[in-house]
Amino acid sequence: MALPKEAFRELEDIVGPENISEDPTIMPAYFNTAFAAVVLPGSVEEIRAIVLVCNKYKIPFRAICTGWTGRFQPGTLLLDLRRMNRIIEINERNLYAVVEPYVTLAQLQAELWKRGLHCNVKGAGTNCTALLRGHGHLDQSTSADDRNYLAVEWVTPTGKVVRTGALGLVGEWYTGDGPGPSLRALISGAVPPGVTPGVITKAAIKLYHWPGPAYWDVKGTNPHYYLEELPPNFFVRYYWFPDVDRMLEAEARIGESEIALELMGFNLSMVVANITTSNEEEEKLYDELKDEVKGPGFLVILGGLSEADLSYKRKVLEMIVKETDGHVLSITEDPKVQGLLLIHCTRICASVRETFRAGGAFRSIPVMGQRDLVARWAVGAAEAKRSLIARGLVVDDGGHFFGWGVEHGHLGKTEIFCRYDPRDPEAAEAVEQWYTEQTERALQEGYFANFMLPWEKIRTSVGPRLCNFHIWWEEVMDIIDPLRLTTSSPLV
Amino acid sequence: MRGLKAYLDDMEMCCRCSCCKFIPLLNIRYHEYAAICPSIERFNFHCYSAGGRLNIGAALAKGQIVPNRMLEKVAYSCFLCGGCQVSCSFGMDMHVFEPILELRFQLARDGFVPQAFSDYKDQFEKRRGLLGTPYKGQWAREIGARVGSGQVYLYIGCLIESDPHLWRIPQLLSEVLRRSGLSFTVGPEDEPCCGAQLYQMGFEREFVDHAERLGAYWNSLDVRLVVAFCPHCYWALKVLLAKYGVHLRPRILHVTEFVEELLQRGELYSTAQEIHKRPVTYHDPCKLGRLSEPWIPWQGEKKPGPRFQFVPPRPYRRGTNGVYQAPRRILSYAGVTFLEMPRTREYAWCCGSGGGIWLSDPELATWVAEARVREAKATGAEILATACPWCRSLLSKASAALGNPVQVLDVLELLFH
Repeated sequence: MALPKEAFRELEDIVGPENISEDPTIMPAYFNTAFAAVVLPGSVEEIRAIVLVCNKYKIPFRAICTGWTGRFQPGTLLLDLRRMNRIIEINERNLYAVVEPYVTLAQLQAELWKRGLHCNVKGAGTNCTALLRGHGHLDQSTSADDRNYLAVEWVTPTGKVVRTGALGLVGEWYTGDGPGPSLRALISGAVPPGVTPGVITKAAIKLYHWPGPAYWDVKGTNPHYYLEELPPNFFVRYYWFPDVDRMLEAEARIGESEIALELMGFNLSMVVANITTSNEEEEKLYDELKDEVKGPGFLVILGGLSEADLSYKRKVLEMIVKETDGHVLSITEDPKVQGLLLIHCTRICASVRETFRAGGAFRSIPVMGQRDLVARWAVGAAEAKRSLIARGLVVDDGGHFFGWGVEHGHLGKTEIFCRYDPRDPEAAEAVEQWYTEQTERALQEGYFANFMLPWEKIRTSVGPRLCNFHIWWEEVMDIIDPLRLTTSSPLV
Repeated sequence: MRGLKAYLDDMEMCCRCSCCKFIPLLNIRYHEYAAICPSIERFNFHCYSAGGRLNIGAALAKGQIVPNRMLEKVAYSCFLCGGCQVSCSFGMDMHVFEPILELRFQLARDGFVPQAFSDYKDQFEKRRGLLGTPYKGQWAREIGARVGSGQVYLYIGCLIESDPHLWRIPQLLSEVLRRSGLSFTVGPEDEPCCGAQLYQMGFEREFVDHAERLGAYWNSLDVRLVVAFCPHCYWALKVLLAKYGVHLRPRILHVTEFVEELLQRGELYSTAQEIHKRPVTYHDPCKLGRLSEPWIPWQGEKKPGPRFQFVPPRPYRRGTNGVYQAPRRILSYAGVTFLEMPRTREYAWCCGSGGGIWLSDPELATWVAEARVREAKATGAEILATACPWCRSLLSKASAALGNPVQVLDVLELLFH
């Protein structure tokens, strides 16, 4: 659906002719969607002006940051925020960084490490925007999701610019929840719909202490990068446990003792994907190791502030592992492998190896929630996955799930996915069926609700089970987006 | 000639992770030096990234879109630097550079090609693939170098031949070779062009015709070694001819590899004297670095099952085996204080002269080169060394435009100063 000529002209006046296109040949590059046009705003003022034009002409709009994934309605105006890529501030005293939407986590992390600071990085990887909401390898010590947002600058669906928390009151970024307006649940909540109506244009991200060097001194040539030696005061191991209960106990106790920089509940297949440089190598190594691992496990990275600190953390870890009958995956006793896991799992640079490299697609069910509860659901989802593996439709990963504790374990994340070849219609159909059945089972058996569904489905099947939240959410939307121009805008 | 459709599966493997826009993530040390793709950096729409081009290539191969001038601009604003292939292939097993080339080939066949490139092709065909410069051989005549006097053939390339400012590079080497008692030969009047520019401009069919002429020429000579001064020539002779099944009898080396071998054997000596006191950084030319890996022929088919895996295993060009060490060792012999740039080796930022853009959009090429000059200056270097006449030329112009923050020189100029 083309834009009205007047609307196009007004948008062009806002961003300049070089920053707007409605040419159909570029649309395959944008999620294969027939967008009305794509615009590249460069500032909050431009975004606000664009949103006002959208309201004037009733044009639906959505924004993307680095834009890994997304589903969009044809005829939408897409705001590609690529030009907004500045780190506005790194406040070392108050431990926050203020960034625009196209600052990637890799860029922010690089600048933070030089200052002895660190931020949460989502499992999707450091190729993603620093504003991405989600979970990842470092949740154990750097929290996750929207809990790291401080003050936020937000353009509402009707074109108002809202600055939350202290930013709205005194122009400071250090808190998003008052003094000043707190709209956390509305614009960045993990609760449904879990997305932001409108456009976030800047946000302050909470920072943490980084116990490592300013950068990893990586040697080698692509893709064979490595560390010559493990940096001082770091310790890396993968442990497996005879059953889920003992793994969860170990995970909980590690969390309680607050010793881990990272606790990532990889399954073996994900460890192997991380440290290998091709599909062939990955398959071969997995086959070599799969008989050694006889249960679920996790990767632990310890980072000590001193030799004594690391020594203490290591002793605690080894005691917990011993008491929960954990076993070291032998390959992770090799310093070269430890180095690879350290650089890959702190810079989160190999996520595509774990997900897309195998077949080109994966279908995932990620769940934020009580770890021990959701893990029990995941056992069943894993069992169901094994039948797809047996039929040769998805990649053999032993049929496992993965997950980890957040904030040293008082929250948790569990996820399971199937990797497959999307060009194989039988595989695609089987994976979709697995996804539908397992999310429906989670709802029916009271584990969790899947919110990655069309709104109509959420209204009819999820909302009524969750305090009819959809009713008040629609009432809120009547106020902030009466024309329903931006159904949702996940920070992808 | 494979065609765009042959890479449909590769193009559809793109998951839009955007890694192709950045240097391999674990190597990012600075916010401002994270980018690898000059084209997306300049134009910002996703279609100007490798991922975007693959998405568009897939749509074109499936007949979902038809070419137009916008698509021509998208395809022809790529520098063919290959940085995207390196970054993508850190994590993925898929071809990126080859389908992007194929997109350009298809558009050229369909008549969507910059006018300047069409004119270049017409000129190329008019002179039947011979090197087209009024100065042909003059650099050699000036120093009395002769045709047919040795088993080592110095292949200078069109840019050095046509720019008297660059003659100094082969002249310095020739002088040292003579002093070292090593004989060599230089190209005759009917020396053919390598065809690399023609190829990059999208004229695959014409290049393939020319490749046969090149094979016949080089295999008719009584030389054992061809020393290419220009990485584009080196790429054409070493990689492209192999890709199109033309086998060359003489060994092909880039001049930096040749000089490094001689230095290691103690057959040459550095004449560097004063310059070594100054801090120097090095710019890796794309065609000498990540794109110069030997071509490994492959034929096979996808293995049944969920993995994108092939029988026999399919080789990918990840930049692993490019020429990175030889120029650095030469600088080491020259005794300079060496400073590495943030974007280096297989993930170096392009100088801007790739993909023929020097001809079709000099302003864009200069924009890219200026970014590289600034990066070089930020290391604290006073000299930006390189090993490619195209890089040297464009970076020199860019440096001049910026008030000469660095002096741009070839590594041989530093070694033989």
